[in-house]
Amino acid sequence: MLSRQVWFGPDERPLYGWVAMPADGLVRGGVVLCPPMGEEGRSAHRTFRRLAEALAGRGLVALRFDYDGTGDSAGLQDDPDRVASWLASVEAARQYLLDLGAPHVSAVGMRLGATLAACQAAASSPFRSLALWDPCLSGRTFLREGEALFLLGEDDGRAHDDGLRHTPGFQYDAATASALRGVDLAKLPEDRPLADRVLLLTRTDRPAPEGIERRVRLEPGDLTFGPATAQDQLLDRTPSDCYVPEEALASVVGWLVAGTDEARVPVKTPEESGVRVASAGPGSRPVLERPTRIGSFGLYGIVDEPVTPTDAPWVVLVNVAAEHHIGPGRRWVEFARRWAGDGYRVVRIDQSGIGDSPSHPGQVEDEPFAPEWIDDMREVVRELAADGSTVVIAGLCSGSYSAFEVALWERVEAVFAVNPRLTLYPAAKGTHVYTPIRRAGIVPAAPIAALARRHRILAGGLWRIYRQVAVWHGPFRVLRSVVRRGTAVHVSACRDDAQHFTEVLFWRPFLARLRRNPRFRFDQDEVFDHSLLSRAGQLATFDRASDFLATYVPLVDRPGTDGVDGRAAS
Amino acid sequence: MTVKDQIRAILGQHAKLSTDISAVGDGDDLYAAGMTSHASVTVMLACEDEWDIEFPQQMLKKSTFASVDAIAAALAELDITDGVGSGVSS
Repeated sequence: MLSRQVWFGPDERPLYGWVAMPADGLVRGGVVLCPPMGEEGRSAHRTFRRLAEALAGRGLVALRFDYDGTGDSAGLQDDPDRVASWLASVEAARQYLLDLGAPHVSAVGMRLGATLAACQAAASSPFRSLALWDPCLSGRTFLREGEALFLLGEDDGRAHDDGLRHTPGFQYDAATASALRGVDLAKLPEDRPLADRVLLLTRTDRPAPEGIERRVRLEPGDLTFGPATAQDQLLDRTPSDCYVPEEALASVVGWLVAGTDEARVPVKTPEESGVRVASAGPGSRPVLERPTRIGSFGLYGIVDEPVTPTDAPWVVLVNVAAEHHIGPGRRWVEFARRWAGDGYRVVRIDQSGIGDSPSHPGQVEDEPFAPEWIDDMREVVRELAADGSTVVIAGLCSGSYSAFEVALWERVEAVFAVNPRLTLYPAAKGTHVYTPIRRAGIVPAAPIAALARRHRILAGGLWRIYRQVAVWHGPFRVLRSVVRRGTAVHVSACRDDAQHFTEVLFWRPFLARLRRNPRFRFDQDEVFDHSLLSRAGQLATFDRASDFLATYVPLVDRPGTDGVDGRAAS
Repeated sequence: MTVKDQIRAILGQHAKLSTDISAVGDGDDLYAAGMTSHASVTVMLACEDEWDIEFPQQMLKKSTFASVDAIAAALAELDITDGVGSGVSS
């Protein structure tokens, strides 16, 4: 199997994708993989990577991709004409596979991705086969579900008067919400077939909207219906805790392969793009964006840098927990482009076993706090600093842990940490990610960790009491150690995460003293929710991190200011 | 069928409670009875479909869907009461 990161679509707004194909370049057909939108898309990243690889293993060329203004593709989530651009992205993906030489193209869509694929097929031309995997009935239901999930969950009780529709991590403006109402599977014209064959997988743990099956049954071609098994394990959990629905995935692969019995034909092998211009927003400076492999193990990352060569400081944005490198609400992408537009070099990375990085032999995929991450991060810093460059690391939660960990091993100029949690219950003794070599991880005693698996709150309370005596388990000591190594540190934290550092009474005088150190900032602010799924928290992170960079790693030569609109992270 | 009966029918289908809906009182906490955030979203959507309404943003909070009484009160604010509102028959 061969896997290549590619850019395709309009030159001025390139779309980001990955091609998976048989190593011999001979394929039976092509398959466009249309991912879910928003937070569901983050959850489904591993599933779609696995799906692409499985299809390639069965003689198909698969393209997984990010819609315009989403994921790693160019554009912003609040650019105009979102829905039309997403539909055009589906068409561009199909055309890309045809241009490679695929004799015909099928599509798999999940959730809103399924709805978009069906709508584009009706508007353009039918796919060979179309798998609708737990489709949304309409753009409206997608938005309502996301909005309700956010407001009934993470953001319970908060009112928003900014005119945006807030979903977990992602926001949509009124124009997009209005356009989404026009995306409705049940209302697709009956005389516009979607595909020669259609597979509809629906959840068994909740009633499916009747309109979906009613419309699918109007299709003139072969129809297959089945269960979207374990979809709750994929989507009803946070992206870091979800599982690949193996059985449903296998049924999609088997169904697609069964529809392609032609002889294999050669297709072009795509080359990984060296450099493409990515926009940081209308009117702003262009930046160069390229995939990279870092260290001896080839960790995957995406570099953003100014158009003119520079030796500016590197900013490393670390993936969060088991989620791939785009960050909450894909803000890592927008921050990276904006900072590169300012003159920094930025790389957003997947640690091993996560996202698009490889896994070490024996390493469990999507496992946060893997011991391998320690050496991963050390290699990242060493490689970026090999020519004497300054390295700054920014992260959220587990990404902050990785930043502090490597700062205690290698020379790191500065760490910007949002909601860091250094008490690692998942990495306690007895777990397969336990390692005695951690320097920044506070690992609870084994009995406490065992208790936490059954009674998290009780275990947390006992651990807090114990730490008042066993003060060396206080996470604050890590911050102090990092600053004492000469690394500038900024911690931004919500109340619970700030308390993590302040609850051990012994350390409070030390915190007060450290606050007088100009290379240390510690701000507790309720604008930050732990997972940074709120717009306010995301924007505050950008503002504070930008100020931190300007203070501790100022640019010597800033690019010209012509044409900057400052909108990248608005 | 009253509004509360309809709410109970929706809960029985969508709330994924750990107990039968008939064993849950009108004022009982549905979250304590096993309803998850995701399940409450499907309950909300089912209510919107049933009465062809859209809950305004300020109503989208956990407390709105915390009990049969709370849901009925929210619907009443949207003029859905017994014998009034689309799809309702007494």
